[in-house]
Amino acid sequence: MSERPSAVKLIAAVVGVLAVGFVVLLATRDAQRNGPNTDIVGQPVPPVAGVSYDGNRFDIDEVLSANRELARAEQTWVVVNFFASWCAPCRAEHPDLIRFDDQGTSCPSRLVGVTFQDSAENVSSFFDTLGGDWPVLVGDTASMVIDFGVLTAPETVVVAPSGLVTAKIIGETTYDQLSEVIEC
Amino acid sequence: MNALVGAAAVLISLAASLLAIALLAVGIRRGRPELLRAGARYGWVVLAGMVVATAAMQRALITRDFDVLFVAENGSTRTPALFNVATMWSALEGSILLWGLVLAGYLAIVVHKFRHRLEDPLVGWAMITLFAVTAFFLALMVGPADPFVRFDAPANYDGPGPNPLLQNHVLVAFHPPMLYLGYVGFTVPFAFAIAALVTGRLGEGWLLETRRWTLFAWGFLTAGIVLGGWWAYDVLGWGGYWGWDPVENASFLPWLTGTAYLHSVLVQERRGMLRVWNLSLVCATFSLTILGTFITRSGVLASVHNFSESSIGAWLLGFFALTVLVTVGLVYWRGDRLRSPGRIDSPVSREGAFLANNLVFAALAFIILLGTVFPLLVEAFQGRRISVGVPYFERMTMPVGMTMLFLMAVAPVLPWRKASGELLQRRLEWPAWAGVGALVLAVLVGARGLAPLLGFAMAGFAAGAALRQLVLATRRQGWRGLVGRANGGMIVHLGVIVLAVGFVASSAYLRQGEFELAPGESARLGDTTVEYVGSTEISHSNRIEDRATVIVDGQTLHASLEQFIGSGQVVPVPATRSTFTEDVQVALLTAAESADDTVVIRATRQPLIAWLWTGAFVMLAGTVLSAFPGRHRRRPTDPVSAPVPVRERV
Amino acid sequence: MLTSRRLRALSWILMACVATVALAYGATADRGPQTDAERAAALAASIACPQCAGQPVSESNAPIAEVIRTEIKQQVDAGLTDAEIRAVYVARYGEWVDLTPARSGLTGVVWVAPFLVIGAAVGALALAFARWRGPDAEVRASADDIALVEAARRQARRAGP
Repeated sequence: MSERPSAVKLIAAVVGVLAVGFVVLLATRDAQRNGPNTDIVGQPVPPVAGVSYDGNRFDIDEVLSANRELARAEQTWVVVNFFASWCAPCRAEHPDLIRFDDQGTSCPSRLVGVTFQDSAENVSSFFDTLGGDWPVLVGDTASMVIDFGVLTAPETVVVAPSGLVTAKIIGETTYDQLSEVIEC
Repeated sequence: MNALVGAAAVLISLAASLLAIALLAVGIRRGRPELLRAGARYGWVVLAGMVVATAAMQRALITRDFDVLFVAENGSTRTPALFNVATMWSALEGSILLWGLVLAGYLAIVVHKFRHRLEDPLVGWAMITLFAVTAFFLALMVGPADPFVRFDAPANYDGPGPNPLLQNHVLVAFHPPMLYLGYVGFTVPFAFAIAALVTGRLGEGWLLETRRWTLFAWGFLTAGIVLGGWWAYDVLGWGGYWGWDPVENASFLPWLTGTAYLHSVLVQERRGMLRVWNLSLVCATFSLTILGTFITRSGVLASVHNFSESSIGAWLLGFFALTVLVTVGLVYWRGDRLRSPGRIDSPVSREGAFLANNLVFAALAFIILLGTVFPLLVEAFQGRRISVGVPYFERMTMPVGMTMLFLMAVAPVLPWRKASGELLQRRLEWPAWAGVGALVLAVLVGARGLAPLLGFAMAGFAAGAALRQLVLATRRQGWRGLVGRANGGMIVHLGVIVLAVGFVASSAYLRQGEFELAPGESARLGDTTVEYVGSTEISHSNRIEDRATVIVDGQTLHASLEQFIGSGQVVPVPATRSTFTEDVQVALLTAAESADDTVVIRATRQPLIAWLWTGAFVMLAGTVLSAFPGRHRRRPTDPVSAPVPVRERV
Repeated sequence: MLTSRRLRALSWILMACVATVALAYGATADRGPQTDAERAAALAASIACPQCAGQPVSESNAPIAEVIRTEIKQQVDAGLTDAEIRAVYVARYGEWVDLTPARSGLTGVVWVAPFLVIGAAVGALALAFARWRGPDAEVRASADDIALVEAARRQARRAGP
């Protein structure tokens, strides 16, 4: 055929090729999920300071600066646990946290909780009912929650004595998991 | 028993479809018209099977028959009776069952409506296409999305019930069925488009014959989309009704191409032109409904509307690819026959305006599709995740919306073939004054901001043009000036304009505030007063309700937080004070723990929300009016751009 | 003399004047500087809730969404600019929490592509129009058309006069 290809055929061919490309693109995608945010691992820990539900102050800087004066084996790890009294998995992990706080692991460690969208009264009654006795920061914790890239409760961050974040556990944690991560 | 009956019915329908395809194919190949008749009649068997299957599923849901896995996963003894019926389409498998039922219904109506033309090979090909689509969805129901899988329920088993947001508002019973009536309705014109391409009979009026089908499907889709917006507005609590969410966008795309088609096909009727556009738009509309179904069920784009994940995504994507490639292949094959005998004489003419209209709608569809899938593109090429959200869509669709309003104003006054500046000046004079009037009125009422004001001006301009047409028509024809294709169309335009004004005003002038109030305290949002009176707790069969009583500008409203017993999920139930000029919505964010405790209330004030629903209602009324048969009767086999015999209405 | 044509021209000119004045007034009349609350609301509408399916924090009841809304208000009060506030959330959660796609790089294509595509379509149409009106404006029959007509003629001949 000596005729030049008609515009319709040309456009049809282009559309066909684009459609195939589009389908291949869609076929090769996995389900879109909000991935766990672990960017913070390997970074220096953001500030963790505030007032606990029992009125006492807590500041992670105090622990970290004290660590600088101590021998390696005596330096304290800090485990920051983001939790809330309305969160069901937090209830599930609570016994493990109590065990961690009581027994500790091979290295000296401290547990501090940070709650969000919660009140001191709720936290207080949570601990009264289920036990446990460690500082839980309440009140204006928004910047801490965001600094750690928290998506929802529970999330647990393990901080080495030097102040570097070594692990971020998304979801419930267990005693075994914590003791695995903490090594002196 | 229900599961058995249901599964058997689905199998019978599938077998009937496949048998029908075989009979029709042989009938066309061997030129045996009696086989064409016989094959088409199987449509009734398919319908019967789907009705029985649906009845079996409904019976299982209403009687809470937990021997059916679907009911065990989605039903519950605590769900109120009304919502059991709607539970069928609240989850994946049941939604495919609904799709199959609607498709079988349309199939049967086509068989009935074309019963005198079943021996025409073109109708035969259309029936083959319809049966093939039906067979695909039935095959899904036999395979990956089987709603009748059996379950060994332990004693005293109780299901979790549907998602709480799907059992606290009556619109759950209307929004999905309307949407499906719309989506599935587009299968019929698609089938006839394929048939016309395959048989090469592209000069006849088949696409025009099915225009009324497309109109009804479009009407249902419009109703479905608007009901979705209304539902969201009623239950979410921040006054939003459209979020540019991937699934919402996916439902809007076929609406856009369908609207473009409804306009463009008029050019084909009058002058035999734009045939490639019309075929492409019809096929694109159908393909986009399949794409939308894929996006909703595959999870490749995160959306609040997603069904649970399943393997069905791959099948739907494959079917989408098949549809597009078949269309493209057929258009490529028949490319030469699609060239029109006529030419558009001048861009400033009715034809030119409709062509511009096609471009504008295609552009809008392209922008929305691009924005929706762009994150996937970036992820494929660079491996990182980005978001394309509301700011993008609002900024990019606004100029296109203005252009559409402008076209709506100018096109109805344009004559066919050619227009002179003189004529345009004359005809557009008082619509233009209407636009200026709307602009001045808006400024006087207090509206500010270039974009919204331009929008109001364009809306006034377009409304003036539509009203002018209606006034002229009623002067000429009395009450008949309000019915029929052109006049009904002008009423639909008026509805769109009212809706557009509501959209612009409520987005641009939204005011929102969050207030912590003790009983008796009140707060002000602009010049609206919100006073908190007190709270009570009410127990229902499936949920516990914390109800706060609030007085907004003198009207008593109840905003609640409901905690569902089955899942523990807490769902807000906002209350709205609605007037013609503005809506104030209050939502309870934090409930009171005791009688004197404070609550946190969010109040949202938006002007002209009621115009959204009013506009949609006018659109639907206009659709019904425009379906009124006209005085010109044409047969599908009459060649297009032949003079139409004017027969008096029988 | 005031012919109807001149009257109409005057009418259009008057219309244009009124429209321009109204638009100019309405577009520039001071609504007051954007209050802090409005800024915070606008920011909240363009930052995604990290736990949700793409909704902005202003449209979610998730706890983290409320935390972020509170924090945005504090950041606005503290005087940070919009860009600085957005940067905080992007740094903590990833690029995808910014609902406005970037204007540079591959992402920037999403802003540019619509204009390019629409421009190309309009250009192609203009070209088609020019060709239709040009000297080469007759319709030529394609080989397919000729074959169709021949077949129809043969059939008509067979069917008899």
